[in-house]
Amino acid sequence: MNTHRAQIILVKIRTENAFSITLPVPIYVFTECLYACEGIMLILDKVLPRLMTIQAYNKVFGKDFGFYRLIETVLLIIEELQDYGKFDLVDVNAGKRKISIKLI
Amino acid sequence: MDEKLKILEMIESGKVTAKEGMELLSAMDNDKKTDTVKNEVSAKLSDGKLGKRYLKIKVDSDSDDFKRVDVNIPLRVARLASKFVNLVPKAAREEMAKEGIDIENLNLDEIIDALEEDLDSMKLVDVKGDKFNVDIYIE
Repeated sequence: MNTHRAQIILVKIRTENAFSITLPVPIYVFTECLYACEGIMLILDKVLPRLMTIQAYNKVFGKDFGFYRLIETVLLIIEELQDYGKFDLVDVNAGKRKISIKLI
Repeated sequence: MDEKLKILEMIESGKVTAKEGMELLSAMDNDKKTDTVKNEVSAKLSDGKLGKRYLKIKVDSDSDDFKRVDVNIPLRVARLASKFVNLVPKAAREEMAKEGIDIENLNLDEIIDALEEDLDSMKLVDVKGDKFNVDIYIE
């Protein structure tokens, strides 16, 4: 078992008017939310193509698009990110505005 | 050393010919070389140099509005990007196809395999402009 797995996604946002917010998102909670959405996504995959015409669905989402597949891919990415342990994912500094996403 | 001696003894006693003995000895040397590479790789793995490689994108600027962008994408995550191909909207795919980019047939795994083969850090893009510097590299 990898003991150095990241546990929290830390999002820091600082706006132009010196407003700053730090959001610690526990990865466990985030992934559980996504797992909870899986069922709804499966239903959406079945229902949405019947509510729209096939042409409209393909135009909006594409032929191979699947909500369930989207959730699965996001979960896979989070799992891989977690395995990398602690690291800075994104750090954007635009003068007074700053955004950083860290895994800790 | 013992194994080499055994092979020489086998040649002496006539169990194997000199040519076969030579082949055995060279095979042993090759095994040793493979072991050395394996040890090197496992050492780098334990150091975290091989297992944790990142695709790093750095943009630096002198402008007041925009200073720096720093993105570290783990290479193993970059490999998963191929799964997103199906999620790209059809219109976007068509636009890319017009520019000659066929993302459906893009073999990302092969590209990332090639990037991972090089154990040291590798610079992919290095653009230096008047106000912007863009660096994309593997580390």
